[in-house]
Amino acid sequence: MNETTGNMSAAEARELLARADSLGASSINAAAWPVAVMFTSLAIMGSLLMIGMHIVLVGGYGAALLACSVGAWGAITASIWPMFQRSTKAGYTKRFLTSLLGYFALYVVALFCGAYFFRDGNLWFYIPAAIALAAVGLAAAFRELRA
Amino acid sequence: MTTPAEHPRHQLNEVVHSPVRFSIMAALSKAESLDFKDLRDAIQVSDSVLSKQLSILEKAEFVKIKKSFAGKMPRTSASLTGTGRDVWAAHLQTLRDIAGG
Repeated sequence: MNETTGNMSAAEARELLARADSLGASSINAAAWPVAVMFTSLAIMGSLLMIGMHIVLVGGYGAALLACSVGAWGAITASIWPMFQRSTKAGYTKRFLTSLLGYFALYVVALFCGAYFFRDGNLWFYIPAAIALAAVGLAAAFRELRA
Repeated sequence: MTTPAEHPRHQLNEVVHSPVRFSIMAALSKAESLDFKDLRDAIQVSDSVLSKQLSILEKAEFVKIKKSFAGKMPRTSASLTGTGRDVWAAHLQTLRDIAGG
């Protein structure tokens, strides 16, 4: 005990606890938006890719080019946006990696199934695939915003 | 005759209890890491005050400082160590014990 800690009242302790809560919340106010924007972009790109795949497969040309170009933009997006992240919320690394791996695992599965089982296009596959990729990307964005 | 129990205020950590260092620990507690500028803006102190207090916390092994570069711009970030999180949790519990009367 010393002069700093020795004379604390219950009211002072409650005030300090409230201040700790307030500072903890305000310090990470702006910490989620870059990653949230990134996952929203992936949601948009992935779902549009699925619709685009159906269109080019029906047309019979360009599926591989479309998949590669969107995949490249997806990788660029996933690399660039997190650079705007200066501060991160507790648990960010684990959340980010699980969300990113989950999204790209679904992306690869959707592309593989489409290329192997639905080479001539099939709306019954590509529309649900588009919805699934959009949902996973947006869920990852909201997961980071709500953390 | 039994010895009266020690009042919880004796368990307050003197390193953490200083006003600026308390604010630093509070701001870092909810973050995985905080950029130096974001931390400075959150607790509203000058660069020099923040640097000095972070050094004290780093020396006590409660905080880890990381220096990196974004292109040519230096970037400094701070995060609580495992020890720092434990000490902070214990400090808050002590405050709750005092607040509870």
